[in-house]
Amino acid sequence: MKFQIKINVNGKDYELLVEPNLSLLDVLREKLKLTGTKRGCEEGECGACTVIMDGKAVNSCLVLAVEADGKKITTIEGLEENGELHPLQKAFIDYHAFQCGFCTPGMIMTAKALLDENPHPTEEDIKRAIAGNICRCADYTNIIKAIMAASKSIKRI
Amino acid sequence: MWRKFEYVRPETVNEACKIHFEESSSAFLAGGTDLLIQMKRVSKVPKLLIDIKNIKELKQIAIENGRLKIGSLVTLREIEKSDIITQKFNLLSTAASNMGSVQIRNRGTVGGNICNASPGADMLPPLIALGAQVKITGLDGSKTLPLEDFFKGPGETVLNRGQILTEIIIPESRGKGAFLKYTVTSVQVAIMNIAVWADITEDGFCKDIRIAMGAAGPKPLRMKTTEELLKDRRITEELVRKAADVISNEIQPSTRERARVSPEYRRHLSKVLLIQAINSVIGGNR
Repeated sequence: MKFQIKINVNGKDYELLVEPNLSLLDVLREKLKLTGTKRGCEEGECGACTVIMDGKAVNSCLVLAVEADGKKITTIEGLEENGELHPLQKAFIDYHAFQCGFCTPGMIMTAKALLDENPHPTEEDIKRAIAGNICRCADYTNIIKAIMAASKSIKRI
Repeated sequence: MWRKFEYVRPETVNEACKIHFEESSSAFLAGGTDLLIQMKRVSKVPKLLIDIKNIKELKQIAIENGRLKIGSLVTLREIEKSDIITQKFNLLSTAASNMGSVQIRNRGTVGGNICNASPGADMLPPLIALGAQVKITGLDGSKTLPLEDFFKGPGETVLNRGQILTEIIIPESRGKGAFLKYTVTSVQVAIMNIAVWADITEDGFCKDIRIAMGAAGPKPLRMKTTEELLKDRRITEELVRKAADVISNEIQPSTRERARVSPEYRRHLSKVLLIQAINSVIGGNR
């Protein structure tokens, strides 16, 4: 049996008919064609599927689409404003904080959720926040630097 | 994507219990961080998921008549961040803060952690050490029982069909607590965890103590023999060392092939954790 759900994604309202056995990740990628959010482990361990739902970072692979009914979702595609990249996105570029880029959307969304809650994180705060986002290309040094830099540039705005 | 199932979202506890009772192949869906992963196995997919997240009365954190009441739908993140809990029951927020990742904690609930009944679940030893009771509601009313009596074995609780865990009740008390979790990486299920709550006077006399361990047996264990050794005694280094020996024999480590570490290692670990936990309590953790 299909369910009618209403979700707001990156500021836009959608009405969709979905089966209960679809995840939010499935709906974002396959139905809304927002493929920035990645499919990694699909069991809540790697964080590649991280999106922000009602202000909180969540693994979209472990949220049923029907559970997202009535909620406000932000994906990586929703960060830029009027064609300008978000300070986090700029910082990730400036600090070479990605190689293959697969972990990056999830990593940035986790960082965004962190900075929304804690605009002046310490390095320890950042490390704790990204504990659920695995990067297999490199170590996390540049990622942490980028997030720290972004937190300072957001402060200046 | 999972194998197909039906989905319903009741508005009240009573409605949820009724549906659960009437459909024998149904499961309650709270945060989903355990259930939805288990359901990746086709054999574990129930016919019907009953999403209980709309039931508002299960989301409270409040202190009433000297008792802390936590609704079963309160998320681990909410426990981690709650002012009431970090100030007066720090043991719980410490335990919650070390579970999974932020993403998991934003969805996972304390009720889910209890009902999933993993022997290594992190919320269980602190709740047991704090003397927690749980309230179970079914079609024929509610009852309350000590949390340590809630578990039958790995993944098994006393809940019957049509019953929901609604609330966790913790008495306010004097005393201090400590929670320690041993893992290799930060985002990992405990290899072993321990919670100690004790009322120890300024000059080191232990008036009361409760010790609970996870991943030390088929369910979270109250270490009563070890407690007896320490209770009504002055806490000395020698006594703590004796207690460490006792606890290493009191645990019931898994001897299965699939166990992550050997029973011998668990026995060794239990000594280390006990000594560190007691030192932490004496050192003044809340």
